[in-house]
Amino acid sequence: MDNEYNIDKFLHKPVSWLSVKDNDDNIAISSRIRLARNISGINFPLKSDIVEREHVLKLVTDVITKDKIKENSKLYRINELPVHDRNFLLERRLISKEFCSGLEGSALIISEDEKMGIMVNEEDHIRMQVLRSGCSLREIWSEINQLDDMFSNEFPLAFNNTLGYLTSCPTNVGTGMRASVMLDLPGLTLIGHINGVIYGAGKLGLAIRGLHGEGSEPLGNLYQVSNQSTLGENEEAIIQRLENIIGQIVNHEKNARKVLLETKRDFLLDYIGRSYGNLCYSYILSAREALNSISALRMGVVLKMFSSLDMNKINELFIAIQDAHLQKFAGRKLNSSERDVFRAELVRNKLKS
Amino acid sequence: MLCEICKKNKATIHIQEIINNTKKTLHICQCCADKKGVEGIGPQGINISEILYNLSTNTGNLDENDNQIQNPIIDEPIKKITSVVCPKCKLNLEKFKKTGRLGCENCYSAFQEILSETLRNMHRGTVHMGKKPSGERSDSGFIKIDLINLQRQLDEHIKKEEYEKAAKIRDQINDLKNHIGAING
Repeated sequence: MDNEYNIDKFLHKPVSWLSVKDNDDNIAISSRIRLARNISGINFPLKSDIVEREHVLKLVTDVITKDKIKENSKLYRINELPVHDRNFLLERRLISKEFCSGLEGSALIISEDEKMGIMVNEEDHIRMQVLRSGCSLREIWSEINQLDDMFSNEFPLAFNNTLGYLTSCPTNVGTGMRASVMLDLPGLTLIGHINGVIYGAGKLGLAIRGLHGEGSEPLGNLYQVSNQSTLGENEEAIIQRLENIIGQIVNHEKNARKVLLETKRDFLLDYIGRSYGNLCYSYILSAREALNSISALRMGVVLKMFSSLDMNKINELFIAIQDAHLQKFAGRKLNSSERDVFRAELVRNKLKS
Repeated sequence: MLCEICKKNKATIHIQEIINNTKKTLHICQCCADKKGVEGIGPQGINISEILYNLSTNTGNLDENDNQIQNPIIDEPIKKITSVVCPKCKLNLEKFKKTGRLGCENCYSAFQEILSETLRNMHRGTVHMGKKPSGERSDSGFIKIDLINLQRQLDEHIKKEEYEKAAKIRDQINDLKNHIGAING
């Protein structure tokens, strides 16, 4: 395992869990499964001291090192990273906000392609995640299930037959599994049916969250659908329920786009065209405006309005326009208005190249 | 509108989530949002249940106007049980209520009475139906855990200058290390 890998190297690498196939409808952007595990006999991070945390880290890294497939993994001790690097990892969905606080003895292990990540000594001893593009929860489950077995083959996990895997927060007890899919739903938002869909899915016990800034209007039409309950159902049942509902939402989104094309064609094309103009020609671009325009542009690509635009390049923008990424690209700290100017420049250049 | 957590600052962040057809809303200030890990934008998302759960364990009561928010911890049993301390990690009820986090696996037994109600409200069932840890553990894994615990005891004895006890522990550690060496060949 490489401990000396410079985080900046990730900046110019495409995010592999965002790369898509040409024929995809691109409504489901990415999927993730996270498993929370603790090692039996050792206090959870809330009550553990540095000696225990270092031991946990050693046990986990020993397992990873033993597995040859993971030999290209990188390890970062979070407390040794500057704050802007922590935020950078946060924006790439590799760590949680809580993990950014940088508890001594906490570390992130990530595979070279960023699809597999393990937070050690976050809220639980082990928080492993696997990310992939599109709606691919089954493939992810098969991969993360094996990763989980690698750990339980080596040391006893905190587990009891009634409550399952014991986690620091009771919201995760049982399977310790949080599965989620990120959806881009501009069509449903434009025809005003998004709330109905959210209520419908909510009836089936899933959580749907918009990414909100200040105020309640969702940003970029992005919605994350995830399981709320972790106890009382097995992993496959949870995943199947999620997949069924996501399939239905995707169909509603396709229908919404069809209705828009049939009944409000000029409005839809104008909306997408203006968004493209915004991204190509703005000199001041807020995060909100950028996210909403990127979402519209993605719809334009699916409708074959832009023959030269590549979906992967547009997906990369979702990551690149965030604050810590902008500052990495700029090579310096930027204040809020500088960020809006730099964001506009970055997006203009990315769409030109 | 005031922040529902600190009840001091103006609420500038408004979160909505719909679970089981129940709409939950939360109005909080930027300061509390930062503390609770709510991100304004970004792909990380938020977990309103955890925030609400933490909130209710902090204050016991939410905004009375917002009666749709379920309080996952019922006030009554908490009032009765005020002196619970986990015998292993020494986490007390107050800290659990404050953080919403447990300190070790034994906390699940120590706080069982409070947790059973919470878990019923939070999840679709009360019994684990999912996978179990695979059973092919090598012996060395368990020994490594024993080593960690012995090392801690050793440190404590040295700190207290109990050198005879420390020497015994040190011998046990050496025996276990030799045993691991033998297993790994």
